[in-house]
Amino acid sequence: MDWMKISLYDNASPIMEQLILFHDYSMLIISTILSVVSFFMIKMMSNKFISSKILENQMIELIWTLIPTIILSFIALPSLHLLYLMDELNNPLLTVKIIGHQWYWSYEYNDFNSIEFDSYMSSSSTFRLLEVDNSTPIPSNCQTRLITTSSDVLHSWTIPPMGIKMDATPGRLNQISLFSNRTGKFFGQCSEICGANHSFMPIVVDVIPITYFISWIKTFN
Amino acid sequence: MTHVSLYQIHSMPTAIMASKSSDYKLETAPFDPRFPNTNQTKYCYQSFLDFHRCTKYCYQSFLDFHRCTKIKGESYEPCHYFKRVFSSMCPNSWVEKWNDQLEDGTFAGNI
Repeated sequence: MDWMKISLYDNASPIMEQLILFHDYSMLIISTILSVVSFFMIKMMSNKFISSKILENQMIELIWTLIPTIILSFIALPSLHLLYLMDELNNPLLTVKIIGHQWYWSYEYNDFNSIEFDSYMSSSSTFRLLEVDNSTPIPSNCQTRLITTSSDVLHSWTIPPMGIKMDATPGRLNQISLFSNRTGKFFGQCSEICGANHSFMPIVVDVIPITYFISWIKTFN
Repeated sequence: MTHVSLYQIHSMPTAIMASKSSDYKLETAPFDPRFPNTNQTKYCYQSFLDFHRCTKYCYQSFLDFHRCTKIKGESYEPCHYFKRVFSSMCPNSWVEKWNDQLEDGTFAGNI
């Protein structure tokens, strides 16, 4: 048992880095509150002072309303900040269209020449239920726009180490931005129950340096 | 937030340099402030309409001003910006469906 199995994945994008930092930060606040509250509860149960005559105390009411408000705003503001940051798309260099089907993903790159391929689960024993026959190349350190849609039912396209999860809805195009600052092979699985083979439509993204990506495009000329 | 723009500052030149060195320019539909949200369906549809409106307009202006010459409206370069946008944004199956509808005269949009 190592920490990797209970904590979050190592981040592969600046957004995920911020999400992990925010998770750790809010856990810090939560555990502080938990310790302070349990300390006072035990303390109050174990002593003999009883304030049975107190009927009203405006000051203490004010304090125990204001302090939680301030603490909550310290969680809410960075949370909202991140939420809006995740929706932001700065000058994308590439658009990848992701189409969910029952039960496989297909990808379209149309910025240069038309590249279109399907991505089915492959029967590999290295990473069971995670490997695909055609993985999705994405250039590293490059603002990429992902457009997700579906041709039949709801699906959801997910890459946890990049902090990306976007529903694929039929008749609608959903946009999310991707910026990966780590090269490598990243796995994900369909995250919206979509039928019998929902578990068997994995996602594999190959983040590669931009020069390799361009040579990959050129192979389609 | 500043960190994303910082990443951009030191990463974008590499992207541009890499694409320059191989004479290949990575270019896609830009951010359109008319569609700032997650839902981009309208952006795709709108650029499809814009493209066809534009060709129609180009074709019309060509008829008005250059009735004698045989230039086609479709070859008017600025129109192809919209074509690039909708090819980048719309799933190929949608474009195929709309093109079929245009051919049959059953396309619902107002071009």
